[in-house]
Amino acid sequence: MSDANSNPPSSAALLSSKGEIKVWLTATGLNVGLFMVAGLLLLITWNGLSVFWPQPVSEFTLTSQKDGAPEKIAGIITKQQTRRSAATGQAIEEIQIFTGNRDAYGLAFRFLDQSSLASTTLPSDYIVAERSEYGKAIFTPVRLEFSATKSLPASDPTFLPELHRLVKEGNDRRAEITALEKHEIGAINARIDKLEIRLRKADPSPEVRAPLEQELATLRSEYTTLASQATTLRDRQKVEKLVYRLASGEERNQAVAEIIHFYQPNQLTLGGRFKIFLHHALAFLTEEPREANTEGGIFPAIFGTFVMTLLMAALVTPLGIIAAIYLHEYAKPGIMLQSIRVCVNNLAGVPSIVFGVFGLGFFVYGVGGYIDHGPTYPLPERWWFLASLGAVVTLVLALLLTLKYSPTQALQPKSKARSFTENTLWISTALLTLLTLAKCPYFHGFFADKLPSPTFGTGGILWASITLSLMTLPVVIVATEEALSAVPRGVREAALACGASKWQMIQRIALPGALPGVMTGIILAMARGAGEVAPLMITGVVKLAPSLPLDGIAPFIHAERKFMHLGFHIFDLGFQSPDSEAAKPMVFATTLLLIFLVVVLNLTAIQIRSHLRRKLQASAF
Amino acid sequence: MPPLPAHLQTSARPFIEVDHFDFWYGPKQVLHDIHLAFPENHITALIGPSGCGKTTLLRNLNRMNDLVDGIRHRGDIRLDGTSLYDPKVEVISLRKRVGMVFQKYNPFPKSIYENVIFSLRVAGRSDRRQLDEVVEKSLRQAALWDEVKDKLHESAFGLSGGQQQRLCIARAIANRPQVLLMDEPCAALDPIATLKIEELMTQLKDEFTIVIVTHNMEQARRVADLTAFFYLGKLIEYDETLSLFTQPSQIQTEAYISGRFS
Repeated sequence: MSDANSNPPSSAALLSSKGEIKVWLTATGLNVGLFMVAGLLLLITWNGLSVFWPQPVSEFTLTSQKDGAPEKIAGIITKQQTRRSAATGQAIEEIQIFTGNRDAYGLAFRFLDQSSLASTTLPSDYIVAERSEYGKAIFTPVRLEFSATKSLPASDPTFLPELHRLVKEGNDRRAEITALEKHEIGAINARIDKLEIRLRKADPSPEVRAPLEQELATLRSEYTTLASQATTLRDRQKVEKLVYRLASGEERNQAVAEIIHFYQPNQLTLGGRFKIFLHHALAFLTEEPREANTEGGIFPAIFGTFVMTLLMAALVTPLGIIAAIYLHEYAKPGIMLQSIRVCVNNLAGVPSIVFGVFGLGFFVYGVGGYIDHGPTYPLPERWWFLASLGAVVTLVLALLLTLKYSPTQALQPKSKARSFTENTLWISTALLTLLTLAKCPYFHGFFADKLPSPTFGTGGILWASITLSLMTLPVVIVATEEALSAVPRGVREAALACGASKWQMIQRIALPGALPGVMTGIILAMARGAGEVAPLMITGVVKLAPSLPLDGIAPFIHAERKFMHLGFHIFDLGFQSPDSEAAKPMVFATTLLLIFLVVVLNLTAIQIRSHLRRKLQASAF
Repeated sequence: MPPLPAHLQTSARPFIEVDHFDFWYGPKQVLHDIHLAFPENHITALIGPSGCGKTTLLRNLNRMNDLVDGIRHRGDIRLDGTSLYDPKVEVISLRKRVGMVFQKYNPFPKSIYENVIFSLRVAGRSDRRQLDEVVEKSLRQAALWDEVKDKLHESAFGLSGGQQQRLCIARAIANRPQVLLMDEPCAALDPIATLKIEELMTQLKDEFTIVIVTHNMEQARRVADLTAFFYLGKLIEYDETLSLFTQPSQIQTEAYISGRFS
């Protein structure tokens, strides 16, 4: 080593002694991370947004013949790639086009070899139309048929305004039908259901039944009126027809009212394209999904994710804070506390599906089933009385023993035997009360009338939220504990010296001071909860929920309802949809939205946190 | 009966009596047979080198040491004749009678107003007019009123260090305690702020019995009526300030006050 001192150091040694290599190494690590994150955001944003951008429609004339003429096909180019021919091993250039017209072609996508294309044109009169069924149609219009005798050819200058008018009318009528069927008929159905259940249980005497049956008859006639109104509207939807021609020359019929929206992509200016883009994006955010979720919007999924996340945060926050206060402020340090801490920390690492399975077994089947139909195996009456008596007795004893110890002496240690007896009594009270409730032979459930169809005994937004709040509980506990230990000792002592009790000190000084840290925990919990899919799949998320968890039908909050979730929606689109090519753009768009939603939720929470910090001027000493 | 210095035996009433008091942190004994009394409406300074137990004694006077695990004591401390360790004594009401000011100013992350009335808030008092009066009176006594009267509802962290410490004093006296404990109240302050606090103390002694722990012998000399010198957990000498500093009876005292060790 003495040589190294006498010789001039090599440049490598010089570099290493300055530590620059390490600086580069660490900076590289950071850059890789930044690059990945930026790449992720860019890729998803680009792919997600390009879904909404209106692309031009090309008409391809193929070299092959069909019915004596060159075959023609129109579509939007979605991909260009090189494929190696299986037979010759030669590279073949091919394109993938979106042809739409699933009703005519069977598939919405088609691959064409570049070599098979005779010519490609961009005819200006092509229309891309979104329909309520069979996805998009790409066609040239021929004429509008108002009735058997009256029609309007596409060459007429009033054709396009007329088409616009009819499409708008159809949309208005469709909204009317939805309102009728979902809200009014839905509300009447709910009342009929309730009435039927009451009738089933009602006294058989006619003076009791007659008014109920009367009411039921009124409701049923109301229902019939509304249903026939809906049918009339539906029939009206089919009156005007659009005759259009595909690239192949085939002419087809389409009820105009089933077109949701159309545009002529090859005639659009940049501004026009942008308008269509905004329209698509807005529709995506606000509409309900169609066609096995591959078309339409994802509003129910956004709403479901939002409600579920908020519900989860509302559940996990008080629970986590209370638990952390006990752990940090009251629990006696020792092996027990250490092991509980380790367990809580490890809970954060348990795979989320495990929580899902627990939620299914405990909350859905156990608690939900109990709410629905009462205990499956109730205690025999005599035993139940004994158990409830035991609960009361232990409660009284525990209260006596605890209250006799005045809070004035709370700072003096209790004798071991005494605290052991107290703890045992409290724990037995809790257990016996639980037993009394869970095995009560007189409780037959709140929703026994609706059985065998379960109400709470099946997945729902409440159970999903509770499961997720259990999963994110460790995050909140750990963050709160850390925040509590960051509250300076001096301030705590000052509060106690002012005559505050320990609880007053925690409530007025420690907890407010810890709130920004607690908010950090909640932010992390929400970020994790909002993006979780696996546990939700088995505790209440569905591919298509018929109704939202909040709506205008009493009691307005339907905690038992199944719901849609963006994360699951992505999974469903990507892996479970009948036409995965068609669903691919939706996957990116939905992912973009999920990221956006998580960011928005987090930004809100961060905003609240910095507001709190400013208010408290974080005690930095 | 624990002793007061000779000339006070008749003129002053012993308000706090520390009666042959021993104290342990776990296995370590930090106070050995402390036996002295603090007279009413006087300032008593506890001086001594670091680790001599003066702060421990101070923190026993309002039982702040109860927060530490594994403590043990022998002997007794009486406040106005009642033992602090009497099972009937509530720690919380004891602390309402014995206010405390800490070494490092520690206002709560609240407004100036809320800081002052904290002890009243936790006692459940909420009559606005009464609280306003208390705030004004306490802040006036702490010589802070004129500086903060226009910003009572602003954060206490906006004040300077000296102002924050005076706010802490206002907070400690808001609930009219009988005793004021001060644990090196000027250690974190500049000389001008220190002087202000010292002036304040001499005014406050008309109403409160003050016990102050200080490292600063000049300070003890300036403000204290009585001074007790501690060394290695023992009370070495307790006398009127002037005589302790001019004619110390013990060798260790003399060595300490002349700066031969600290």
